[in-house]
Amino acid sequence: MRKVLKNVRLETGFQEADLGRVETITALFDITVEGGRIIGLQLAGYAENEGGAVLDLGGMLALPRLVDSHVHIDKTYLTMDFHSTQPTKNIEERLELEAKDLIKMRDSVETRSRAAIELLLAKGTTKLRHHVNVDPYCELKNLEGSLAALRSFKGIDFETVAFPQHGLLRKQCQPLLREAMKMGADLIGGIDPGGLDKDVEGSLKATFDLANEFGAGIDMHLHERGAVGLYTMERLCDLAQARDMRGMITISHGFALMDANPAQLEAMAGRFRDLGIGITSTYPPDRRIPVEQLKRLGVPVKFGCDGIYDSWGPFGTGDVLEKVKFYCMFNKLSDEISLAQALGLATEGVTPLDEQGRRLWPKLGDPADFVFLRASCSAEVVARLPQREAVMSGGTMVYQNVK
Amino acid sequence: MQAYWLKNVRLEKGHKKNEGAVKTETEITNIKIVGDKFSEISASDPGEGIDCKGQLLLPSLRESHIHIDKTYFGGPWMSCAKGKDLFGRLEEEKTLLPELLPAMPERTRKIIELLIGKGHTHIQAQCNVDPIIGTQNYRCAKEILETYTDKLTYQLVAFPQHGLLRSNSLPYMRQAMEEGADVVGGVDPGLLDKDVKNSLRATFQLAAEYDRPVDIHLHEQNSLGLYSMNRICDMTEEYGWQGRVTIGSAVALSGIDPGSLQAISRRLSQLDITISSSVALESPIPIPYLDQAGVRVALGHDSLIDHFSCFGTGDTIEKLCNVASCFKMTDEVSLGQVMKYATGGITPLDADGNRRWPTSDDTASFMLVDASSSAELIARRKPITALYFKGRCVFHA
Ligand SMILES: [Zn+2]
Ligand SMILES: [Zn+2]
Repeated sequence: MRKVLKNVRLETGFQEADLGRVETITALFDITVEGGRIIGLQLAGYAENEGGAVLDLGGMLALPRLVDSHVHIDKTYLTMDFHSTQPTKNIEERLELEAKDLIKMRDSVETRSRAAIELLLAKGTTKLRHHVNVDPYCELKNLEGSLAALRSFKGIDFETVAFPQHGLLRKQCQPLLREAMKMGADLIGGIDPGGLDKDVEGSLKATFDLANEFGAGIDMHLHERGAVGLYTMERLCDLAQARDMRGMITISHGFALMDANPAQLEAMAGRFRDLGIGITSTYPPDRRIPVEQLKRLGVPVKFGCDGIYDSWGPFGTGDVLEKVKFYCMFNKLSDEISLAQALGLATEGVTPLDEQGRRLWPKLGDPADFVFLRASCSAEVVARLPQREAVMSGGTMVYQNVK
Repeated sequence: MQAYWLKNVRLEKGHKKNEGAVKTETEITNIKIVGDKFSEISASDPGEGIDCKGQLLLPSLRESHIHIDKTYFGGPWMSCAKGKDLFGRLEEEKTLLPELLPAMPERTRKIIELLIGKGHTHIQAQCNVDPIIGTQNYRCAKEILETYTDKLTYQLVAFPQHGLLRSNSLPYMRQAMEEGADVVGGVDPGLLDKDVKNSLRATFQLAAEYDRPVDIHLHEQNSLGLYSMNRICDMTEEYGWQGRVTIGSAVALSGIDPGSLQAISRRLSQLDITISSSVALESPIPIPYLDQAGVRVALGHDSLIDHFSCFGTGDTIEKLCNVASCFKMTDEVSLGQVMKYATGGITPLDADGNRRWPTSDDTASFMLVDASSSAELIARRKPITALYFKGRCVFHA
């Protein structure tokens, strides 16, 4: 079915302005969509009338789909009464508390996950990688529930990471993870092989064995700071190399990268780049990994929201763009080009313009995935976080703001 | 004098402990407002009244530091020029301030309306006073703020952004005082004026002459900032200005060694000096520590969007949420207590769960929110549905 999106604002370049500022130039376009893809892209008013439904966007800005590359939808308290966070002394206590929750909340996973997805969607996210608990407490219930929820939405693309939150070896989760993969999980997850499993080599080996068994990739939570974190990254690189898993591995958080000296960071980033290992950050203000250096050294960096209000913390808006805004705030990036480029952290690298202001997106043949907002350009969106007015995925409107 | 009942209003009542978890207990009740004050709380149906439908009643908010003059807010999007330091930004103001003046009335009004919608009934507003713009921004801000006195209280700070001594702004500052400015502002006596002693002397002299409080922005880093802070303390003591001095930003308090922090906190507390902060999450000043040490802490947005920065929202609930997140205040009691940084110290419950607010004779400036507790309001950034100032509704969603 053909559709024409009329009067869509797209970025076309940068220009210099007063006081040494830079401004984004935009123009209105008519975009023709068919079969979920962009088949026509012309200045507004010039598209030939080729029939099909017409949707007038009234000058709204289009941005690429937002991607949340690290989120937990299965554990959220959304839809429940308010829960603040019960204080704990250490990670073991925190995990014990979570275990109780997981048992108590086994039967509401689908409902709660759906609320989390609705929140993400309302913020413009139509692609996500979610980590779902697989452990002796929820067993495969969280996987079942979150998959059912995700599948009930049209236009959400997702990858599922089977996540042994309570420790792969610590809770002997291999058989459950194996089941999870059979049930439809896409990647093997992991967490702190030293801190939690107390066996860096054994835990990594078990993780890689599982991944290889299913020909799957790996996405591992690494919170450990300092040398042991860096050591774990080294061993992970060794295994990625030995098992020939180029481009199949992501490290989430990677806080130890904050503690690497410049030479260590360069060496590590070099290995990540060569092995195609990506870094996903949830960019907490007190643990800011060196995103800019990593990107400059050729490492793909993505952002995610992490937990959306669960037993670990009461916060979370589901807005991956807010993470990008924080990134810009914390690094004092308030100029037009830096703001516009930062958007890429929430779009798997897709930005409408490159640093020189050359048009990169959208192109003919691209999937018709858009976020529409009342804003003048990407830079404004990142700095001001306007409401997401409408969200299109594969040529279908999957969210419209009614407020 | 007006007298009416708010019916079915939710009030926080206490803390309930259950297996290590604390939950806020609330009650649905009715509260009477007489004139501009709360007068009584009664569980029995008072008959006629405004039905609050179980909304939570909380104290209204105070914005303690915001530049309402040189703003892009409400106008077309403008990002900042890249790579300029403070002096570069000040240079920009030479052309920018006169250019922005015509749009100022509308934009200032938009900022005030935004702040009202976000639950504020008090604004400490900053306005440039300098040789570039003279007292024009001040006058404009004053005129506009005066039209909102039925919705909020305000204090307008005459702010010598370009350095009191550095830019010879003293005559303009004096003029602003003559015209009725509420507060003598100041900024970086070392970094900008390059003369800590005389800059502060001139500031306090002016304050003494016109009998006004003082509000000094201090962006000076570590030991210089600490030095200036100590000299501000000296002057506060010398002039007897206890309880009348605010230090804004005070970035030097971030990353400071424990001994120095303890010492300066003691002085700030003894002299009743307020620290106002916009909470730079990446290098925050130690707000909970200061609070524990008895220092008054107040939150402000500083700027919404101007040539210095483009990230301000005017949403103090969001700011409180960020403070809580930044300092890992995630349990029920800590979350609830965070509120005090935006209310001049008022929270419905104290840390032990005793009700402190509202009591009869408290001014009836409050908001109604769609939340089950202050903790939920802050953690989940719940919406404000209505705002009352001195017993009158000034905003509803
Ligand atoms: Zn995670
Ligand atoms: Zn300021």
